[in-house]
Amino acid sequence: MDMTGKRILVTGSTTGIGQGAAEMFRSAGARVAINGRDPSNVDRAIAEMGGKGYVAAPGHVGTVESCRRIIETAVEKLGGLDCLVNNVGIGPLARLSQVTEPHWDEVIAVNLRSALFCTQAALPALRASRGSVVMISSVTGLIAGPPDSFVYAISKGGLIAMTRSLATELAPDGVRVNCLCPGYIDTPMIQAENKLTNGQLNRAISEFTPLGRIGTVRECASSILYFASDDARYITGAVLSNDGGCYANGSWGTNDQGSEPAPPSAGQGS
Amino acid sequence: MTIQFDFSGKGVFVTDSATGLGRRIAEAFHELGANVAIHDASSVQVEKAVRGLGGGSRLVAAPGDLAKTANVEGIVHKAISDLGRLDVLVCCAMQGSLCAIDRISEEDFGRVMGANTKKAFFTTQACVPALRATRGAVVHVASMIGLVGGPTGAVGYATASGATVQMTRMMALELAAEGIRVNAVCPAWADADGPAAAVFADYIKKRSPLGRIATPDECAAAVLYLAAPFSRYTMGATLVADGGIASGHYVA
Repeated sequence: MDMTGKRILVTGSTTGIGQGAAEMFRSAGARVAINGRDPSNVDRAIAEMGGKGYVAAPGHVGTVESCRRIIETAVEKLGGLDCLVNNVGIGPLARLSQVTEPHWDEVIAVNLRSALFCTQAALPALRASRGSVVMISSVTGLIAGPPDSFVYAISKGGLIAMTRSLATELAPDGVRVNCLCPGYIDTPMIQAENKLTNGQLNRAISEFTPLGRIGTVRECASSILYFASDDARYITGAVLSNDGGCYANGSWGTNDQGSEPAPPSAGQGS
Repeated sequence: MTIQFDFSGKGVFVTDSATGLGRRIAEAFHELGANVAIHDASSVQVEKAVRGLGGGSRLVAAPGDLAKTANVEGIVHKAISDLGRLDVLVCCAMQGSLCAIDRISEEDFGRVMGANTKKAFFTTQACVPALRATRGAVVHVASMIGLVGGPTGAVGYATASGATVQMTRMMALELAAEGIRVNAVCPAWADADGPAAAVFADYIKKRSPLGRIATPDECAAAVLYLAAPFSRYTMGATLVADGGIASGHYVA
């Protein structure tokens, strides 16, 4: 896919799927704004990826004001915007009975509200470029996932509905909005989780994913690039799972006692 | 096979049931023998609704603002204590609103998520112990807007409805072991008194093969089905009462 000259912002792109997408956009010729909470972490990620072609748009998407500043920085440094990837997400663990109001508010703010207000702030630039938005939801947005990723799943379900609604609303402006639902992808977040469960998570993934393995960041990033590319210019409001077949067979992980796969723990990613 | 809607002796709590669709749902449960808690943020509205429904010992007033999470436990516990038991919880917020993506504010977004999904979440959480005791059922009323988009400006309400649908699946999975069923109804309905009702109603009429919005009775019937014991193997489902819109529509 040729992304020469495209200007891209990926939120939550210092690690995991966000970073993988940023790198793939860059290697396809785009200029990419990198976002993360911590400015020094953003600089580190940019240096790791080779520096050239990246700009820094640090900030925590937890407040609407900060979402606006991140977009403003990216649009200014890139000289416009062709694609906004709303990738940032956190998944602190809590079951139904353990969810508190601060937990709810934080997960909804970072995973769901940020997508709406980053998109809103980016609209003038996206209208000008007839660009697109890619929402990173999750298979947990489509079917029930691990019970301790309760609010995470609710936020991801909201993102899918937001995608369809915005796709309709922004179609007259030529702005496309699509949604990717990754399953288990091999990110530092999932690797850490696997370690915590002594490898049980990876065994569950192998057993219950129809393709029999975890996905790679590159396999996920390529879907994001496709949505952003001109090849997808008739595609809007689409919800694509990139999950090795989990959604197709309606399950992922296992309900076996003691071997329940844990969801992504706190951190950025999908 | 016996199909009956008999809720005699059952305790039913319907949120936002002083007016509109919630009131019709509460009335239907009451007609079928249930003890019903009528809820609204305004105690005046609750009293009015209780009187309007004929009063009597099978109607319980449960006023209070459930969108303020700190209030939820108190409101829920009082309602359950007055009902004596809780067999069915219906979260019927249906706070639809219209605000274009360019104009929606942080407060708008907080309000629509708070009045719908967040309120339903914390109300359900507070009801779990009582529902565990009766192996009861929860029905979340969302909207077909959460499944297939909607008119311009529906993004906040659509997001909240989509989140409620996914919340329903997660709750169903989590609470199955406790014998509590959780399902959702997604009607294509618009409260005549609600904000932007005309826009929603027009949108639905143009797209439904039936050419009209749902009646409150048609929405209530779907709720009754999911609350009744004969749907006991139905878990985490989204039942549309949308005149066919979510199946796709073809406008000739």
